[in-house]
Amino acid sequence: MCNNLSRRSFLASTAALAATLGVFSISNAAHAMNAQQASSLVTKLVDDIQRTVNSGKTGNPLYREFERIFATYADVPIIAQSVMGVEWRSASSAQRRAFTDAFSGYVARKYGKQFRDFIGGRVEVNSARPIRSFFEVRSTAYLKGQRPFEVIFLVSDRSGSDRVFNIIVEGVNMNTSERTEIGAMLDRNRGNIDAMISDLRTAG
Amino acid sequence: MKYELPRSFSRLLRSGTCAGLLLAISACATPQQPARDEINDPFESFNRSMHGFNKAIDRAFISDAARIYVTYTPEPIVLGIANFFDAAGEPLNAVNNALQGDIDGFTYSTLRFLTNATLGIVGLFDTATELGIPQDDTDFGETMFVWGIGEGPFLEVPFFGPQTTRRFVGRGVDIVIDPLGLVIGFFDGATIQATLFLLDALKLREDRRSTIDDLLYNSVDSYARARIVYLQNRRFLLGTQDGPNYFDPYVNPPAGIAPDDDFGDTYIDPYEDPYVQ
Repeated sequence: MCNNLSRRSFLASTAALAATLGVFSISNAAHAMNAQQASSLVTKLVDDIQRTVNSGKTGNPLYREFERIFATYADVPIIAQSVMGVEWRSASSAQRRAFTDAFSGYVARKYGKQFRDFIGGRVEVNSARPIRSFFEVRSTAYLKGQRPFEVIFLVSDRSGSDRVFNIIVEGVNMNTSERTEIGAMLDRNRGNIDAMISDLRTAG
Repeated sequence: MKYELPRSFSRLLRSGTCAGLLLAISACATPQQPARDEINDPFESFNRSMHGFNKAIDRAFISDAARIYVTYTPEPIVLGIANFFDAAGEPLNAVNNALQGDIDGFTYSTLRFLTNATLGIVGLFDTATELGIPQDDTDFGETMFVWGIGEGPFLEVPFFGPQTTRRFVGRGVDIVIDPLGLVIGFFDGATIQATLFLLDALKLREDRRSTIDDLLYNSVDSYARARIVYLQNRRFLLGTQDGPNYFDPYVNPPAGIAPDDDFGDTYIDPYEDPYVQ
């Protein structure tokens, strides 16, 4: 039984390894970004957040800082698109732009508030590995008096520069969580995209 | 390293004393793993009212109690109680790791208990972590997962919050199989364990205050968010959300859109005019 199991898992892991190598060589040919660059982007992002959190700023000045960080390190348009989900298709170009803009302010306010929990803490980048066409950067957050926990950043250069497009904290990913929230906002406005965007401008 | 036990093991158990219990979770006896972000919530309207109840309890009591407990109790005492709670959970971790065939996990839980009970002065200090012995927290819900039992419908339970049916049933089993409970006695031990559970919950509430406040009071639909956040976190803890399954927004179009409609490739300059087609 055990032999059988281990043989099967050996085969599976060999297949997985081969697949990974295959993807890796393709992505290497197509993209300039490497694991080193992906981790250094995340290190810079984490340092920037850390500095901002500990700067003593609050309210709007703090949120403006976070909006700058978001615009600098994250691929805001692709995040906005994937968070809006199926409605993206029916949205006009103007609505897409308005949504992306409103979403960026919303994220800055919302996560700006939540980063308070990070005051006095630190995040250490551990490793990076390629997955399909992007990179997964693993880090550990150490907050005062708490058990360390895992934070994963997904980084892609498909926008033309290296950008974070999702953050996953102990398995909870921002993309899905926000898609749920935007979906609820749309439901509340009976699917009216403009009304949802106007709600989004004050939410967070 | 985890060794999966044969599925017949759970069949064997079903015929034993746990027959009634396993009958209760027969609804979740589908061994395949949930797809990414899959939600199975047939009791949604019941769950939503329980969510309303839990929120009311948080607003009226838990939130303030958490702030008062953590603010006015000296930090070493808060940490000591948290460590004690963790140490007291290690024998149960050891049992579940053993039931899962997780030999490393069993060794760590046992070593952690012995170390913290002695060098850590009855569990008040986490000496084991300082010595580099990893923590492998588990529960009977995870044991059932290892045995191939599906997670079952999502539930929101008064006081305990969101969970899968498998986790909820596992909590009941954990009370019965906890070696520490057997030693200190169910009834004498119950008050102590309930108190520790409450204090640990208060610390967690305060540690993650801004995140939990945002989720509960700053969401359009806090139930839907709590549900997806819980499910993702639980599946992550059980190791069923592997990296290679990540959603790739550059390749995958938004849900419900035909696969050939790949926005990722029409993407030109995000800051000039990203959506010109």
